Amino acid sequence: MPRLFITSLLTLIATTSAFAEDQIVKINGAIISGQIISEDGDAVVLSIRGIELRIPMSEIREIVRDEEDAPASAEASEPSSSAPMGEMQKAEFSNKWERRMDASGNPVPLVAIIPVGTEGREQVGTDIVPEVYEAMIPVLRDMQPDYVVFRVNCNDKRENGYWYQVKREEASMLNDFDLLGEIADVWHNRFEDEGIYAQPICWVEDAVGSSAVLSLSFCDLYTSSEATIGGLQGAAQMFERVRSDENTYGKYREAFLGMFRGPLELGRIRCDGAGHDNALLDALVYPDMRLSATWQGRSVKWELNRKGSYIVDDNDKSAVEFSAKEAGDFLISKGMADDLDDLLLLHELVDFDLDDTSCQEVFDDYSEDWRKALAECKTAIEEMQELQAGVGPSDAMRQAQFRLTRMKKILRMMNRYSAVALRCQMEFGLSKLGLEVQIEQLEEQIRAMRSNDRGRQGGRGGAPRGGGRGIGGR
Amino acid sequence: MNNRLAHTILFIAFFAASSFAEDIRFQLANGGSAVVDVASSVEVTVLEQGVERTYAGRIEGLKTKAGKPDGQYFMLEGDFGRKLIMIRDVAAIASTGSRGSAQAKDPMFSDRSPTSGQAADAEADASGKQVVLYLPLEGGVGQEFRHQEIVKIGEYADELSPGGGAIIVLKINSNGGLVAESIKINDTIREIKSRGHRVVSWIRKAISAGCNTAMACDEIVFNPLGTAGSVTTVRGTASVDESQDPAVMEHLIMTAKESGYSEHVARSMKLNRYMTAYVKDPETGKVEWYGGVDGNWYEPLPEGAVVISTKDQNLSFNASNALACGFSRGTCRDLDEVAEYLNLPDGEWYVTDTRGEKLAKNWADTYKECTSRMQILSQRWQFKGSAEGAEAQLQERIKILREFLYWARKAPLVVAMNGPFGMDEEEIVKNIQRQIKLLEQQLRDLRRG
Repeated sequence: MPRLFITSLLTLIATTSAFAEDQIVKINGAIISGQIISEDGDAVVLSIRGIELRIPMSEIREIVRDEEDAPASAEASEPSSSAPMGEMQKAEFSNKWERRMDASGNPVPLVAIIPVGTEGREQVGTDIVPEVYEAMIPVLRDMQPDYVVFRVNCNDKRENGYWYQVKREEASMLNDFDLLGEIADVWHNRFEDEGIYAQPICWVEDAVGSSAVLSLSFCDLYTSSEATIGGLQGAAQMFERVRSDENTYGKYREAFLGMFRGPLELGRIRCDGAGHDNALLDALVYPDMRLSATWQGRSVKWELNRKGSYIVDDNDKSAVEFSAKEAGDFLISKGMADDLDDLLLLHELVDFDLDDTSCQEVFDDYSEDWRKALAECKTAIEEMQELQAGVGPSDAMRQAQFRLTRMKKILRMMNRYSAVALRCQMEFGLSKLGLEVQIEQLEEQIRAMRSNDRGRQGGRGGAPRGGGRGIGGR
Repeated sequence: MNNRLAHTILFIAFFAASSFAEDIRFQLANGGSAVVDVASSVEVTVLEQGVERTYAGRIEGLKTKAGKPDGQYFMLEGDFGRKLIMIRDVAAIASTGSRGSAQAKDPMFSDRSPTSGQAADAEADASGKQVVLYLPLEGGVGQEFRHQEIVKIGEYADELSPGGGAIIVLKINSNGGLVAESIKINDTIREIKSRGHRVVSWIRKAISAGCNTAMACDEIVFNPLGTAGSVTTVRGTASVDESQDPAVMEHLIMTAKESGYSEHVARSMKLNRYMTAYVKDPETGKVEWYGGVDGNWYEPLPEGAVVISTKDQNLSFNASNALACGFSRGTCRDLDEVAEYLNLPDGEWYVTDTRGEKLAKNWADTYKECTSRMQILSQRWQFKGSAEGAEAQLQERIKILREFLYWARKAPLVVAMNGPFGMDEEEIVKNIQRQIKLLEQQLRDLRRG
């Protein structure tokens, strides 16, 4: 069951008179509580749990100071302060996603967490696929969050190879390079089409491999202090086999880059032109591309040469990668945060409610189910390998039936989970169609063995089946 | 939001409201206007990819609604054949000659008179609603993506809107495919355009032969995720240079020129060594193209030139740079935005009938089944019936060949691409028939002992 967590500390700050603080009411209606430590004609600096936040005057509608607000605050918080926290939650959230009101009577923003990997082992192409995010749509539609945080913790290299060279649709002649575009389409278009109007925020804990491309489709991108954005060099290696022909290589390379750039293009449209530059992506993918940066106010101009004011990548042996600090320095990320409270604070969200379980459950269910199914497939394959090595039934008929049962099981799992089909193809070279034919062939062998048995039985006296001494009569 | 180029004509208004009105005032963005008699010959100057070209001919099939110029167009018939002209691209227009036939009396639907037995057309005309057809073309060119479906959608357009004027939107999502099929597709699109229909490609992915198809259309719009280009011809893994086969380069250049694109764009899409740059006038939006080869520009690049393909790079567009240089006319994330681009009533997407989608689905299903059966049949050939003796095996093989024959008739190119019977479609059928006869003979011999 989905649960709603309240960020207890921040909620307490907002609702307990003992902790009443100054409040900044922003033009967009957001209220930020903290202690004003300085102010001038341009901005107010607010201290929130030791973190300083500078809010420009142009964004402020009203400043409510502690001394002015204290009585009202105490009054407003009276029912809360007299009731235990648990009871308050229960009362206020009898409806699963019912909105809590802040001291000023405004609904407190609701933040949903959307996992893009959890433990880092999850991969684009298996766990991170469009259908998982499509499955989250009904949950998010009911929830109607104000913000969705795409929490990226994904390293394509950690568990297995890249999916790039694998065909998702076996009938297709072509490798499937569109997956990233399809995922980005769900996140940036489908969610909105389905009535989910939350503001997206991307929080990268690790984005190594294709998830780096997906992360760069967000203009509001933040990282944890240990994050890496990069690891796309594997994608570039796909076309090494045609390197000797510069035009063929050029064709594949640009076509592939064109597809990879799609999510960034979509991201820029969704962010009204803000977002990440195609040149940055090109340098993340191809080792031979130089990259330089020139700061232009609050943005960076990227160039695939050494002409910029700072040379980011000057070698042709490896593609560029960014640590969290570098991502911040080059304005790829808007800031660093090691927990959600800090992340949302960077986004000027102080008082909020958080649902970090509903989408996670959808994600985990899918991930656990297909991994379990894949484990069963691996066991079946191992058993067949053992059979070949002499472990298991000894007579031919039983051996054939043993293999048939396991092949059918693998096929069933491959049909049920696209991730299993993909992994079986990557790891064991198994295709669904190939397996179907092998099953048919095995069934035919079994039929022939039965037929031969009957033939032998007939030859030995022609006793009708079921009579006399039976099959293999002596 | 639809990012349309807004560099052209403001609107067009009827000079006289009568249903027999012949004079039309074209009101231009610069405040000027031109009155022309649509029944007479006209000379039209059109801005095509930043280059002004002038055509003389007679206006037909004017489709317009006052105040909403985007997406409106007319057909111009002249010595050059028939050409679709977007009203927003008209830089100048003037009457030049004598009045034509009475056919062009009604400027709204001048060349669309309902004929008996064509109820759909009559209905379309009666409602005055623009005929719109949609054909998704997805997959390998020559495989899932063929000229046959485009031929049929053209026929439906003729049926629903005789004399032209239908809009056919082709969604293109392809990594490319066969050159020969690509040429057939381009010829088909050219024919449809010559019959007065407007063919718009909406690109999700138009790589190689897919891009060739897109460039044959009247206009290109992109999906935000879209990409187009990389038209290098490859045999095996080796690229084909123009010195080896000039026709492949010439064909793409011809397609580009016909649709108003710079030939530098075509060359850069084909081979790395060709270079392309452009300069866009910030006020008029006019684009000047520059080309070069092997690191040398044919003429010096002016300041502000945007290089889109270097000597080491194959040209492939994304939505943003395609829009910036005019290769694309808009970016539409879904069909509603395509409708907005096309200026359909209330900006809402519709199709006049759904035969385009059905065509696409039927062929996609057939293709999928055929490729799957081809693989299964090839495998079965090895083992089917062998455990039950020679006669059973011969019977099974005859059965397999009969199914191959069925598919060779239904999906000849798929069988050619995936089967062991050769590439010539007619030869394949004969080849399979011969093999069936041979096996039948063997079976008879076997039975005779």
